Amino acid sequence: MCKTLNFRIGERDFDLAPTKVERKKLYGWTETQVTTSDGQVCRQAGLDRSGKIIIPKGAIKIGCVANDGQWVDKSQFVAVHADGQRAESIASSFDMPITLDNKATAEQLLDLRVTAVYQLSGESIGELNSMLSDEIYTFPFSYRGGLRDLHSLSANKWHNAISNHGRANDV
Amino acid sequence: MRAINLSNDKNRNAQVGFEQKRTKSDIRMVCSDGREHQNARFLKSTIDTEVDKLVEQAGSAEQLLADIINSDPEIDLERVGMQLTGVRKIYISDMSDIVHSIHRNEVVFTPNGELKESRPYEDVESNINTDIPLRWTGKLIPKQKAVRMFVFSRKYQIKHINGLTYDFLYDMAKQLSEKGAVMLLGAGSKGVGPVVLSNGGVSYRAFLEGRISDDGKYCLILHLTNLELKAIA
Repeated sequence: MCKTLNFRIGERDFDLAPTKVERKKLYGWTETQVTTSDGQVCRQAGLDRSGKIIIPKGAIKIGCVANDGQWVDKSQFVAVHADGQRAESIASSFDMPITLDNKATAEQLLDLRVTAVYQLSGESIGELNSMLSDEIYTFPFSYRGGLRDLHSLSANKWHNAISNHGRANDV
Repeated sequence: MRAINLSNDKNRNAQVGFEQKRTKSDIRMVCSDGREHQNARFLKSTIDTEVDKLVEQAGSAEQLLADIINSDPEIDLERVGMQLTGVRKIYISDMSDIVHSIHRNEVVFTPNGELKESRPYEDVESNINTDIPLRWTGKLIPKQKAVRMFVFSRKYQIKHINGLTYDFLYDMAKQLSEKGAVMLLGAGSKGVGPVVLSNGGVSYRAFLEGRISDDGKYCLILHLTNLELKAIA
C-alpha cells in the first residue's frame, strides 16, 4: 500500500497516493551494449591515472577531506544558509497536511525545471478534481524530508491531479 | 555561451547564444569546527577483490567465507583508500582485460523490461547550430495548455550577441508574449524534427516562450520536453 499525501482545501481533506510518472515505464528504454569484436559483452570500468589499477564499477567512494588533508566525517557537518545561519530540517510532505491555498500561474510553472511528476490516485480524486477546477496550486514539497524543499505545483484536473515539482530556474 | 541557429516567423534566421541558468540552493554543508573542506574520490575495491575473482582463488564460496572470517582477502590493503584523480573510462572483458576495440549496440526494452530489439548504435548529431536553423512550426499552444500537456524538464535562455540579434529576439519574444502561447520549434530540413542539443544526446521537443517588459527587456526561453501527459480515458 502506497503512502498517502494529505491535501487540504478549506476544511476538506483528501488522502491520495502519489505514483511517479516515468518515461521509462511508458515508452520503455534503450541501453548501449558494448561488445568486443568477437561479440563478447564488455563492462565499464575505470583506470587510474597511473594506468595500473582497474577500478570496477561502484568501487569509487566520495568522501570529504579538510584542507589539512584530514578525513571529515559526515556527522561533523552542519547545514547553513548563505548568511551563515543554521538551516532547519523540514519534515516530509507525507508527515503533514498539504494546504492548497496558494494559486500559481502557468508562467510560474514554466519557470520550474520539472524533476518529477506524480500521478495522484485515491477514492476522493474525483471530488478533488472538481474543487481544483482549472487552477494550479503551489506548495513546498519534500518526499523524504531533510534540508531542502522543492517548489511544487499541483493539481490539474486534466490528469487526475498531477503534482509537478522542480527547482526554479533563474531565467 | 553556446550557439544556436534560430529562425523567426518570416524564415529569417540568425545565430544567437543560449545558456542554462540554474539556481543553486543557498544551503551548504560546513564543518562544525569551521574548517574548509572539499570532496575527494577514494578507491573502495579493485578488480582483484571482486567476489568472482575471490571465489576462483579460494576454490569455492564456502572456502572464501572461511577465508574472509580468518583473514581479509576482500581488502587490498595496499590500494584501498587511495585518493583518485583523473580516472579514465575503459571497457573490460569477462576476464577483466582492457578491451581496445569495441562495438556498440543499442538495446531497446519494452516498458515491461522485455528485450524488443538490438540494433547498431548510431550517434545522433546535434542539430541546433547547423546550416538549417530551428524553425517556427507555426504551432502555438497556449501556456495554460502547454504546462498541462508536457513535462518541461530542461530550459535555456536564448540571448542576443549584438544589436541586430537583440531586435531579432525581442521581436520574437514580443510576438509570443502578446499571444500568451509557446511556439513549437522544429529541426531538420523539413523543420518538424526533434531538437538534439549535443552529439549523442537525447531528442527533445522544443518550445519557445517569450516575455517582455516595458523597459525594453525581453526573455526568450527554450523549453525542452520528452514526456507528454495525456488524460486517462
